[in-house]
Amino acid sequence: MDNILSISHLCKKYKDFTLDDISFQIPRGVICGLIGENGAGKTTTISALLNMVTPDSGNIQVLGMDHVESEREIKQKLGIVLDEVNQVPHLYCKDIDTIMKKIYQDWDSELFFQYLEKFQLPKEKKIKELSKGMNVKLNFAIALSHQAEFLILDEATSGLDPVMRDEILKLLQDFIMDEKHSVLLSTHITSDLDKVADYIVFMHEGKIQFMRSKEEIENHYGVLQCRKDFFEALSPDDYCAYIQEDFSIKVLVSHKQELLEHFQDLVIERASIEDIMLFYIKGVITCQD
Amino acid sequence: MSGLIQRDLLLYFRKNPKILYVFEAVYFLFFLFIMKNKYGPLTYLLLCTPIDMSGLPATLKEMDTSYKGMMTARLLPYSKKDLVKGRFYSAFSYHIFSLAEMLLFTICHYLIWKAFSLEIYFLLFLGGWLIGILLTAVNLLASFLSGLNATMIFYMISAIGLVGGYLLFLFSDKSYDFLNQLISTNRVLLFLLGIFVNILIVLVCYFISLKHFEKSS
Repeated sequence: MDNILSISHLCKKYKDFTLDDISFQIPRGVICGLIGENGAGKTTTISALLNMVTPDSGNIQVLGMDHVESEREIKQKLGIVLDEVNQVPHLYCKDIDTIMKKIYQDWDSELFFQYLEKFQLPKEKKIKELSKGMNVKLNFAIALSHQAEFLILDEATSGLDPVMRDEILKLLQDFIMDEKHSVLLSTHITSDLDKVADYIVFMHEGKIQFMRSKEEIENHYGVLQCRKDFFEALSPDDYCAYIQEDFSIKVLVSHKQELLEHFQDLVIERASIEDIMLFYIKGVITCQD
Repeated sequence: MSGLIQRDLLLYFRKNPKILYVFEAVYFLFFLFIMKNKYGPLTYLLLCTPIDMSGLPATLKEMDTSYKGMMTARLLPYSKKDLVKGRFYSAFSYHIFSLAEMLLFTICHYLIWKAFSLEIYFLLFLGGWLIGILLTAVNLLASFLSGLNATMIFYMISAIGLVGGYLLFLFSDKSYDFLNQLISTNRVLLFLLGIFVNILIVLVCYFISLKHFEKSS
């Protein structure tokens, strides 16, 4: 499969944090969620692929090109929305079109103004007069108006209300429809990923904990709440992680169908992305991915 | 590159309050009609406009620091070298506006007062521009090497230094000698030397800025 992003053995060492041997690929035509707690290394990974951080080692290919050698060509095809990185507030919304049409070869002014209208952003207004949510919408309008092939979003939807977030998620789903475009969506709002992501990359303390398709997560993972005696009867192969609670044990099972075949009355709840994240961060991990 | 230049210039014009342009018009008229002796063009061409034309690096540094302007620029399809080069081009492109003002002032002053010969007016115009280029280059360097406060302080020091130097020049009774010298000495050689020094300083400032910016991440 043609990968839109390929990261292999990416390492970056800071005084108090290390990005440790990060490798993953994102195929074309998918939305890939990047999750992890604060300081897990998501933003550093995104900064490295945007050539804003120089890695100590590793290789990054974006759209099949080296991310440093072909930085200009790559960024022509990237739509980027980062948390708290907005356009300079002294500009008017309409100024963005004047500037961007000279910067992006495929800038579509008509489309940009359509997005401004759709997002109810007045073009005669100064950016400093826009709310946080409106700034996010403006950033999306820019990211979607130059025929980008790959959207990179870092906590991009965090300033939006649920209605607008839902609208943006629909836009992302439309964006990947042609199976050539992809989205890398780093977010703490895991419910968004439950709705739209095809793949999940989970980072923890500078390492990749796992990369799974959402289908795989839905079919294989589940959350089982059980008593200690039942937990002790389980084989360690049946589960991935567990959290000891006051009167019971919460178990993340990784082969829920097989377990249900053995214990037919067992109630195994669906494991959301947030559940899995919490198990990996707060629980005892028993399997190696 | 034209997109980057347009972005920088638009940011600069949008950032400056409109009252600033009113002040510019006021001191243009003051030096043209009120201070009508030979010190009018000397002050306007060698002091006021060079300070004005070198203000862009400090203003854009404020945008870069306070509003993540450089971070936004880093997301655009340009290399680090493009960004440094773009900032230098923008700063010197802004000179066009100042040069237009200077030219208008020179022509008007010559037509109305004829304080000097046309040649001396031209040399003052060129001298003012050379000072402007020098100030712009060192302010660009300061904006790439240091933080916002240091850049602002450096800009103020360079402006105050120029004003101080000019006042010293005025009150030391050397100004008359200077004008005489300007008329009598080998002016072409003097200005060729000035141009050469300016080009050298601009190139040195550019390469140091580029090296520092490339290393900064």
